[in-house]
Amino acid sequence: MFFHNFKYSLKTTLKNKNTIFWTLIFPIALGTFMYLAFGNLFEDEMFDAIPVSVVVESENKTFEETLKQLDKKGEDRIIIATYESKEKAKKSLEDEKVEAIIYVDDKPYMEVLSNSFKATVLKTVLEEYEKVNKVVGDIGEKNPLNIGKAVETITAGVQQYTSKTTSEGNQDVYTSFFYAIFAMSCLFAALTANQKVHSIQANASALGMRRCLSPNSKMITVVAEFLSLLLIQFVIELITLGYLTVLGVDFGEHYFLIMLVLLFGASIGISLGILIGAVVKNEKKSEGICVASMLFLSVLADLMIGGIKYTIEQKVPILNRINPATLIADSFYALNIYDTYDRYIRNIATLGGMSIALIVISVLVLRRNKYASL
Amino acid sequence: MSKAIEVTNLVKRYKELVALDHFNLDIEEGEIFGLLGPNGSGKTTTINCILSLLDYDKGEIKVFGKNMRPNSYDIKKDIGVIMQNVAVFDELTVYDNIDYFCGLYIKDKKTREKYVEEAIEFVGLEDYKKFLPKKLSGGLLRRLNIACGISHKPKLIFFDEPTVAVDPQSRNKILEGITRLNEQGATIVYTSHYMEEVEQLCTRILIMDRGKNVAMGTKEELKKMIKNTETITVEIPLLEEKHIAEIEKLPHVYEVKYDNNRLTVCYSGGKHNLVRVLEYFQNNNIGFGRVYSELPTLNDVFLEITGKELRD
Repeated sequence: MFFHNFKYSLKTTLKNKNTIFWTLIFPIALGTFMYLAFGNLFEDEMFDAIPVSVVVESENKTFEETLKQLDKKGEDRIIIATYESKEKAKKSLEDEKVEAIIYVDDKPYMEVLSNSFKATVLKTVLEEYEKVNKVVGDIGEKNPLNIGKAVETITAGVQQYTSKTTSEGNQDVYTSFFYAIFAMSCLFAALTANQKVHSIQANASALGMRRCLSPNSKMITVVAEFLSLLLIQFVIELITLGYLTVLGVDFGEHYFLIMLVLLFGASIGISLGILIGAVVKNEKKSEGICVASMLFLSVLADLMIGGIKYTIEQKVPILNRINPATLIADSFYALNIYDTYDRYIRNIATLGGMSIALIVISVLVLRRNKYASL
Repeated sequence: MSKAIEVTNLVKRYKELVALDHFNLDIEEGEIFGLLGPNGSGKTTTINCILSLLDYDKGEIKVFGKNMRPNSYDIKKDIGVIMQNVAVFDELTVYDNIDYFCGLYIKDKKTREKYVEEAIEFVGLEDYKKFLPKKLSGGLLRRLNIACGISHKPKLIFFDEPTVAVDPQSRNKILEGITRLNEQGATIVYTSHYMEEVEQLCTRILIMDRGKNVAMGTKEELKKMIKNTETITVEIPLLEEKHIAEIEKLPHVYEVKYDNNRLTVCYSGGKHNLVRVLEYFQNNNIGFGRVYSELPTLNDVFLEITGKELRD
């Protein structure tokens, strides 16, 4: 019975030209657009160190040492720091001689004129410093050697935006944009799953009613639908990956692990769609909730605009640990930045675990075969 | 004969509205049982409760002598349902649709292929096997809907208004098919608000109104429940009052109306009523045009019992 359902679920999905077209065309079109718009830009522009004014408001030796390391001449130089008074620094910023003023304090902060690319890089420097400082504790006081590690991590974070790298991962500056496309494409598989789940509920469609009358368990139907959608979505992601690779986007050397992220990413998108479809009976409302949820999760994961993820990390870090969009994007990030796979494995395991949990909840919701009204 | 369906004291409420009010029903195996009632009378709700799709507030439902529950798979495998709304996959061809639904009941591939072919032949869709549903006319689509519901050769088949919006040719084909299914041994439960269909098909009929069992029996038994046994209508250009009074005195006449040059005479029992009224016209030199004699319909039964038309 499972294979019968699986076969026909594949058939109905593949023959739904609208669904297939949009599921495939969305990542490919957006990927092509990104490639055409930013490809040459990043290829041509090598990263130059950013001039900044540094104002010491109160002593923070660790941060000052970190800045010193970032200011070291060489290929990895991130900033060109000028220590000056607050007034002079403000004047330099106004005259656009520097990109920002970095204030050395117990909690370093900065001032910029606009949200430029370079300002984003500097912001990342501060964010990464905060993160590392939080994780390692007093970076300098307990073990001065930690400063070196901190600088490495900060540089790694900054290299998301620059064309430099510390690991054997990808070399391209803008690959993270493509990872965002993959993450969103995986999440938007929820829409197809949502449609599918309505066709197995008696209170949602005539087709669902007929299928409910058959002598079969709901679990078999749900699992068959899930796996068929997973197979299709995964193939679509692979086609996109292949297409972008042929186009010239460099995804590094971890192709197998990237594919694994795509598989688990598609899985979480589909299970989310199934759960929303199982809970919300009205198809239009359910679709709306699906789209809104996916957009919301993407925004929280910084896939559309930057900055929110960091704030969440500060205030409610658990949200970043369970937001599927963050987990997918972070898996790519971890793969290409860190030399160890701990973070990658943790993300993948969370995605897999959440998928299973969502499917189990959906089956429990759908198992209630008797309805109050039809 | 054993019972296919037993419904006892069934109550179903939708908030304030009582959709089924202590409803009782017994259907014998091998019957074509008609559920007749106006829209909103509770026919579809009854079926959905029997099929264990709908929760109900009170009562007991047995199918083939066993309590019906959502997971009564042993009972469900013997049930086929043809719903009011066409329930097929738009993406699958006629053949694939039937194969899919048949496959939910029949595991053996060879048997399934045979059943699918038989179902296609049964509904006369041999020339449309590779068509997608959107390419079919309304009538053909209804036939596909039927094929999907009967391909697994169920012992109990529910037809819920299967002829709504269907052309006369397809309608006849559907009704003939239902009779053939019954001849092959299936018990049929047929719901409709088309009384002619119910009269034509069903061996027993239950008339429903506002979730209640209003009357039940064969069509003859139902018609015996009411006063009227025959209505004769005669076109007469001019008829004097005294003749109307005379006609009222004829045997078995209980009501006479003369309106718009039409005389309507209602009878309660008696034979040769038409002959007698025509003799009266001849004896009194009364000229007349067309004459109609109508036996009571189920609508008359419904009208007399509930005070309203079936199609209100």
